[in-house]
Amino acid sequence: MGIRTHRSLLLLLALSVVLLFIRTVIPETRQIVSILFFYIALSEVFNLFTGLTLYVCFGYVAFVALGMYGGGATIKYLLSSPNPQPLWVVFVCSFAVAGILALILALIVGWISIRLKGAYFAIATIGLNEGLKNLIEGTGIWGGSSGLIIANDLIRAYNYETFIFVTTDLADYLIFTVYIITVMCIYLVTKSRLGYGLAALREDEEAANVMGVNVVGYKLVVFVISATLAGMLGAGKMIKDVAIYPPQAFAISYTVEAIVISMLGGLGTVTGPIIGGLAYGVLKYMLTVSFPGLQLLALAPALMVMCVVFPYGIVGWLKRRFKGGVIESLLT
Amino acid sequence: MSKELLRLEKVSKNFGGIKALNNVNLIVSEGEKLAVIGPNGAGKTTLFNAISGVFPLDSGRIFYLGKDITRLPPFKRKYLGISRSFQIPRPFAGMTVLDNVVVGALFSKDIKNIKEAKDRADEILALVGLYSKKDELAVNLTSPEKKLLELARALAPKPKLLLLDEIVAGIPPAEVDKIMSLVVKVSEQENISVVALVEHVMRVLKYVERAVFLHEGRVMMDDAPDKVLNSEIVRDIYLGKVYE
Repeated sequence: MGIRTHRSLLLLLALSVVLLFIRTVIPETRQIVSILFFYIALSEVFNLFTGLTLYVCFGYVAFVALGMYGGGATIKYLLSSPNPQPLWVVFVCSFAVAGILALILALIVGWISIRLKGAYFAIATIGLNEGLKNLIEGTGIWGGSSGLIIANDLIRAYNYETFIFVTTDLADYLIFTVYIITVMCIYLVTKSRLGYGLAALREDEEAANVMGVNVVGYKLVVFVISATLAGMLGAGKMIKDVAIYPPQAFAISYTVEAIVISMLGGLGTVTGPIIGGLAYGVLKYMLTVSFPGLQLLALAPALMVMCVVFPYGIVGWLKRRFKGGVIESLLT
Repeated sequence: MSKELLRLEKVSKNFGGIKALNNVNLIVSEGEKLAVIGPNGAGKTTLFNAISGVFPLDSGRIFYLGKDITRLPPFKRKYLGISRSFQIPRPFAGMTVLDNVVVGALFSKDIKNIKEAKDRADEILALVGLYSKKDELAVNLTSPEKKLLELARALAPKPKLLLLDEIVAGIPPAEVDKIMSLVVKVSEQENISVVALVEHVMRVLKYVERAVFLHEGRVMMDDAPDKVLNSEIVRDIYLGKVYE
C-alpha cells in the first residue's frame, strides 16, 4: 500500500485543505466557506450510511440536533461551576457526550427499524425527527421551546475575545475535523470487508445474506457510525451557533439538502459530497445573487436538469466517462 | 462409508396450501456428488432455500457436521461452508466480475483478508474461464457467463458443501460437459460435496454418484443414477413417453 493506492484520498484532502486555506487568507469568504463546510460534512456523514447502503434515513437531522443539545448542555453544565475547566477539556467532553447520545439513539432506532427494507425504513425514520422535537418541547428539557443558549456561559467563564475566537474560527476547525474523520471513515470502510459486504447488500440483500454477509449487522454498524459522527457534527454546529431552538434544529431541510448534495456529487463515493457540496453551494449562491427571492424557484429546475444529465452524480459520471484513466483512479 | 456432512430430518415447508417440501429426509456424505432431479415445481429450489436458510421451516430439523443448524441465519451457514448458486443468476450487477467473486470468497472461514480473497478470486476466475472479463461490470456478461460467475462465486469460499441450482440450464450442450467436468475436478481436489439440482437429468447424470428424485415435495427415490432413471416410478411421473 503506497501513495499510489491512496492518491484519491490525498486529492480529496488537498482539496479540503485548499478550501480551509482560502477561508483563512480571505476573511470575506469565511462565512460562505464555513456554511459550505457544514453542508459538505453533513453530506459526507449522510453518505456514509445512505451512499453505502442506499437506505434513506429521513430522521437524520435528529442526530445532528441531539448532538447540538448534548454538546450544548454539557458545555452549560461544565461552565456553571465556579472554576471552569480549560476550554479544550470542555469541548472534548461536549463532543464525547454528543457522540455518545447520538450513538445510543442510533442503536435503539437502528435495532428496531433497520430490519425493514428500503422505503419502509425511510418511512419508519420520519417519525424520529418529529418525535424528538415534540419530546423536547413538551417536557421542557434542555430549555424546551425557548431553546438552549450557551453564549452567556462562554463569555462569563472565559472572556469576550475567546468567545469571538471560538465561534468564528475554532468552531469551523472543529467542524472541519469531524469532516476529515468522516472522510477517513468512509474511505476505510469502502476498502474493508465491511465495505465489500455493504456493496453486496446494496445490490441484492438476499443474495448477500446467502453469500455470508450479516446484512442486518452490517447496516446497523454503518448506521451507528454515521449517526455518531452526525452527533459530533451537531456539537460543532452548537459551538458555532451558540444557541439552538427546536423548530430550526429539527428542520427537515438539513436532511433534504444533504440528500441533494450527496446525489449531486455521487452517492457512495468519497469525493462526491465535496464536489456536490461545492456545486450546490456555488449554484445556490449564484442564483441568490442573480435572482434574489427567486433562488428556490430556480434551484429546483436546475437540480432536476443536473440529475438528468448526471444520473450517477458528478463523480459517478466522471468515473464512467474516463474509465480506466488517471481521473478514475483519482476519484473514490 | 464416508462421514456424514448434511442431514435433513422430516423437513417440511408449506406455501399456503401447497406442500413444497413434505417430510423430506436426506443425507449427504462428505465428498459426495449428488443430483436432485424432478419436474418443475417438485420443490427442488425450496429444498435449497431450506438448506441455505432463506426461510424458516414449518417442521423438521437440519444437521450439518452433527450440529443442529435449523435456526441459523443464511450468512452463518455460509461461514460453516455451505455455498450455493442461484437458478436465475443474481450477480451484483454494479460490481465488477472480480469483486463479485471477492465477496463470495471474503465471507468464509478460511479466507482471512481481502488480499487472500482477491488471490482466490483470480484463481477461480481463471479456472472457470472468466479471467479475461474480470474488470467488466457483472451486468454486461452474457447469460452463460453469468452462470459461470454464479459457479465462481459459489466455489470461491472453498466450501464443504456446494449447492448448484440448475447450473447447466440454458447452457449450450457443448458447454455443459466443460462446466460439469470443472465442478467434478474442483470438488475432488478440494473434497467438496456437491448437490446439483437439475431438470434435464441426462445432461449431468454421468457426473454424479447418486440421484434423488423429488416429486410434489417428497423424496420418491434415492439411489444410484441409472437405477433411479430406469425405475417405473420415475418413468411414470417424470420421463414419460419421451424416454421410451
